[in-house]
Amino acid sequence: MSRIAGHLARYGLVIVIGWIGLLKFTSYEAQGIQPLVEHSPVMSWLYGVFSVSTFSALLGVLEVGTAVLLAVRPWWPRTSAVGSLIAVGLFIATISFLFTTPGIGEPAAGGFPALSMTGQFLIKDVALLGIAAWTLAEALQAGRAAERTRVARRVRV
Amino acid sequence: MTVEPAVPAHRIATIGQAVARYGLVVVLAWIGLGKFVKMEAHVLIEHSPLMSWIYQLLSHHAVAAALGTAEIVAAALIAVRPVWPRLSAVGSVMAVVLFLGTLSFLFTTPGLVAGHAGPVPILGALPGQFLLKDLVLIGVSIWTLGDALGGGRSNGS
Repeated sequence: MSRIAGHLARYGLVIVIGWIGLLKFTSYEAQGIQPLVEHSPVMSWLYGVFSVSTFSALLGVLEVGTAVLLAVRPWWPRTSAVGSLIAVGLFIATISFLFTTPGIGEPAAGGFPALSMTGQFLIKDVALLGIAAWTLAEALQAGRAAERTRVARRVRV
Repeated sequence: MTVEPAVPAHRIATIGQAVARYGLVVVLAWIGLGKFVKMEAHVLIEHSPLMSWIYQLLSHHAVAAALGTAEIVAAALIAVRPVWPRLSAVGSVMAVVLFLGTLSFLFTTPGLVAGHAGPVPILGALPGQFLLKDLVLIGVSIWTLGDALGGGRSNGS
C-alpha cells in the first residue's frame, strides 16, 4: 500500500505542478498570479524586471521542468532529487503568499483565520511541501542504492 | 568499499513525512472549520450526479456542518498516529473517501475549464486548481493509511 501511495503522491505532484505550470503560459493565469506576486515583499521586485506575462512564463518553465524531473525518478533518481528540491522551494514560496496576500481571510466569515477559496487553495501546499520533501529523500535513497549496486558490480569485475 | 551518504536522506524523509501528515491535518481541520462559518461546498455538490440528492434530505447548512465535522474528525484521527495508529488508520480512510469526493467534482462542476491553450485545458485557479491538488492529498492519505496500519501491527504484536 505504501508503494501505491508513493506513486500516487509522486505522480499526483507531477500532474499538479505540470498542469499548473503549463497554464502559466496563458494570460489568464499570468494575471491570476499577479495579486499574489505583487503583494509579496520578497517577490514584487520581479515585476520591475519582467513583464507580468514574461515572469509567468519563466515560472511555467520552472514548474514544467520540475514536473519532468520529478517524473524521471525510476531512471535518474539523482536528477529527480533536483526536481524535488525545486518543488520544495516553489511550495515555500506559495505558502509565503498566505501571509502576504490581502484577501486570504474570508470577509463573509469575519476574516482570517476563516480562509477564502484562495486561502484554501494556498494552504493545501503545506501538505504538498511535505510530499516534495519526501520525494527528495526517496530519490536520494534510490540514487545511493543505485550507486552501491554500481560499485559492487565494479568491485566484482 | 562503501558509499558515504552525502545528505542524510532518512532525516529529510522523516521531516517530509511529518510535514505531509500534519500538513494534511492542518488542511483538513482548517477547511473543515471553514464549513461552519461560510458555505461554499454547495456549488460543487449541487452539480454532482453522485451527491446532489443530499439536498433533498438536508439543508445546505446541515450538509456543510456534516462535511465540516467529518473533515475535523478525520484530521484529529490522523493526528493521533503516534499514540493510536489504528484510530489514525480510520481517519486516513475517511480522508481518502473525502478526497475521492472532491476529485469527482473535477468532472462534474461546470465552468472549471476556462478554455483551452492548444491541447491543455485551462483550469481556473478556483475551484479547478484547488480541486486538482487533492490528487496529491489523496496520495498522502493512502500513505498515512498504510503507515498507520504498519504501526498498528508492530505495536499490536
